[in-house]
Amino acid sequence: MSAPMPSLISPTRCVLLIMDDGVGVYKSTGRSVDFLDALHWREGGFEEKLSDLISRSGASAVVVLNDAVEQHYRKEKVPVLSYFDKANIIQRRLNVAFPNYSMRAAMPLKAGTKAVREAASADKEATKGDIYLFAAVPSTDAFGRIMTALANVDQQVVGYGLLPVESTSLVDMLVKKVSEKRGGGGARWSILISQHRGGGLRQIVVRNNELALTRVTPVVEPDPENPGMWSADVSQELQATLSYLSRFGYTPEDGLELIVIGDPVYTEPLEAMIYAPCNYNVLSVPAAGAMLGIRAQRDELHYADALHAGWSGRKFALDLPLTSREISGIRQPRQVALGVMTIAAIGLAGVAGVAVDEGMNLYATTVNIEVAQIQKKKIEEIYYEELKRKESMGIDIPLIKGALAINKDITQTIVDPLDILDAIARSMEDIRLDKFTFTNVGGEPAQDRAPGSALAPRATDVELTVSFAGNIDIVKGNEEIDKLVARMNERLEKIGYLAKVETPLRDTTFRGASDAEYGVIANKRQVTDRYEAEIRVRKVEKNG
Amino acid sequence: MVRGLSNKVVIFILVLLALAGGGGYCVYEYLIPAREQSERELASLKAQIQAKYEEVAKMKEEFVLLQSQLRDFKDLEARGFFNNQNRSEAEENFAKLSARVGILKAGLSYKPGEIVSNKQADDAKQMVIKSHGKVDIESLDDVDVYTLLKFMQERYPGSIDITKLELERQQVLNAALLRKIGGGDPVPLIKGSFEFDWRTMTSKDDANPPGGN
Repeated sequence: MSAPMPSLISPTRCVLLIMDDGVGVYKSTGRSVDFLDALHWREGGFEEKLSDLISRSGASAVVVLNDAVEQHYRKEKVPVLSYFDKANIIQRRLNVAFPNYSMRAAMPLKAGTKAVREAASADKEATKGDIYLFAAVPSTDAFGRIMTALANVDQQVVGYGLLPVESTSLVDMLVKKVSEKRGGGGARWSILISQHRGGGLRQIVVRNNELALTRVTPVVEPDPENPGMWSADVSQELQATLSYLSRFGYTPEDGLELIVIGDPVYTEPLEAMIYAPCNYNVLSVPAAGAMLGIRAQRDELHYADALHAGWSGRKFALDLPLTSREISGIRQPRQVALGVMTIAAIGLAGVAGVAVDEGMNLYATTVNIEVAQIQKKKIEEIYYEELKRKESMGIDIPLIKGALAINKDITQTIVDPLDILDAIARSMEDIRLDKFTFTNVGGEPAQDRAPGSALAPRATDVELTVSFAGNIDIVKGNEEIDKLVARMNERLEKIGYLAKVETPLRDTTFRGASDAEYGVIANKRQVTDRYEAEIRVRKVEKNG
Repeated sequence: MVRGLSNKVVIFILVLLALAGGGGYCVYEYLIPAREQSERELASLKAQIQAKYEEVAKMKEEFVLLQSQLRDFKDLEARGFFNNQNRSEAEENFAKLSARVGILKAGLSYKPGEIVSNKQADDAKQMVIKSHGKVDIESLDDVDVYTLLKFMQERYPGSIDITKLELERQQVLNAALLRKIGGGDPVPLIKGSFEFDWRTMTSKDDANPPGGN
């Protein structure tokens, strides 16, 4: 059985406890339970009164709990099934087990299954499958009236459960608490005896935390004048229950925890009437409620139906919700409606959140725009003041900047031929040029250029022509030319130029052509004949 | 209205859905576009402010810089960088320089001037003009030519960019030539030519005078 927890969805619930002679209406919150009223089946305007009670309870959901006599249980062994087949097979088995009852449900008994497996560990075939608790109740006219009342209200229907099944965990909790209090270990069997307002005595027998047996029997109403009568009646019922237990495998060695909830005036005499070996515990309704964390009505010491209602009412979901067309017909549309409402509410909250966020952003941006406009106005004022100041000084900034930049580009690009010629002239010594040609061509320095790009390239070179007398020693003449070039380079290299012999006086290597006459009457070269050499000076550094 | 649900619940759901839907429509149709629009406006304003700040900072920086540049500009102005390359003035200038150097003969010719495209000049409502000139020259000594070049570079308005210089010795100085020269007959010993680009800046208004000359 799952441990109960306070409901997260419906903190306040209305619990309808169906009894044989009427219905009890309770209001359950997380920590308390209040008995609102009890309606007899024969009461006039039953449905309207019940609807009104539910509406006035302020609860958001309704739990229907069956505490009537006619409840049918059966333990069934279901073979191990695949996840997808399980629901269908169990439903079919339920139909077979209870063909005449429209409200049915099943739940696995884990501890029961384990016990069966341990008992039949030698027989492998016997251990296959799980033990299920099958439960069913008839669809009575009384139930139909409850459904009619529920159809008239808007509350959610949590489910329709059976009180003994739903209160099994209550018995566990009480046993645990009383065992802790007593300081002893827990017994395997537990019996909870409590009387409900309808007059029935409910006995819930739990074995290994799972429902083993339940009985509801009529007993005499407690009479303060004669408390022993009630005790004797209950004692007889307990004896009957104990006699049943032996059929379920109970032996005194297993241990038995007996908890009787009721007014001590009636429950204390009972102890002397019980002969079976057990741990006998008597709890008043408030005392049991304190152990369970449920605050029941203080003045009510005897009737424990409110405890069961409070226990089931605070569960997140019922342990064994019975299903039927009538319940589904009311429950499902409301669940869908709740889902739609939840989604719509989340959506609305989301939209509201986005709207607030966007609105805040819009407001912040609007404020920032105002600030920015003020800043812009100020900076524009500063700008115009600055402009005015410069204008008043008569400074034309674009003209100054442009003219200087253009002049700089021109100055860095153009080449002064006098610089090169000066370097050449100072290297000549006693040699004189016959002619020279200086050329300096290339890009336009004043033209637009991208920022950071190189200046317009220029190709600068000087062709020098030197002549020697026709009767000189040609080798010595070439050597003089070479020396001249070397002298030139000493100066030219400093300003980024390089001189090179383009054509020597005469090529005396194998590449050169040779044409001379020899002999007495041969024509020999005269002083007036000239040897010409060419030297080329080139710019090797980029301008700028 | 709906089986299993009361009208109250159905109406409540419908109201909830309508509120969520209507709210969502308003948010996405009006609020978000309005916010985006205002953010764009803010970003644009910020960019304008930033640009103006930078402009002001630049102006202030330039102002400091201009204090030093102003002197260079005045020099440039004094050197006649702003000149409309009037041909008659140019010829007159050249005649003065040649006479001063003592060149035997110098023939000056200019090609039609042209405008050099330059954005900085445009920004200053000016234009760069360039004239290609050629001088055929005869001289007793090549040094006279160099002197003329030097004078042109220094005294000419704007910038002189020598693109070609060609000199050739015509005769070797001997006793006969010296006598001839001594007798007052100028004999050119050096012959040649040089070409140059002359660049100045001038106002666009000067280049297109109302009269059209």
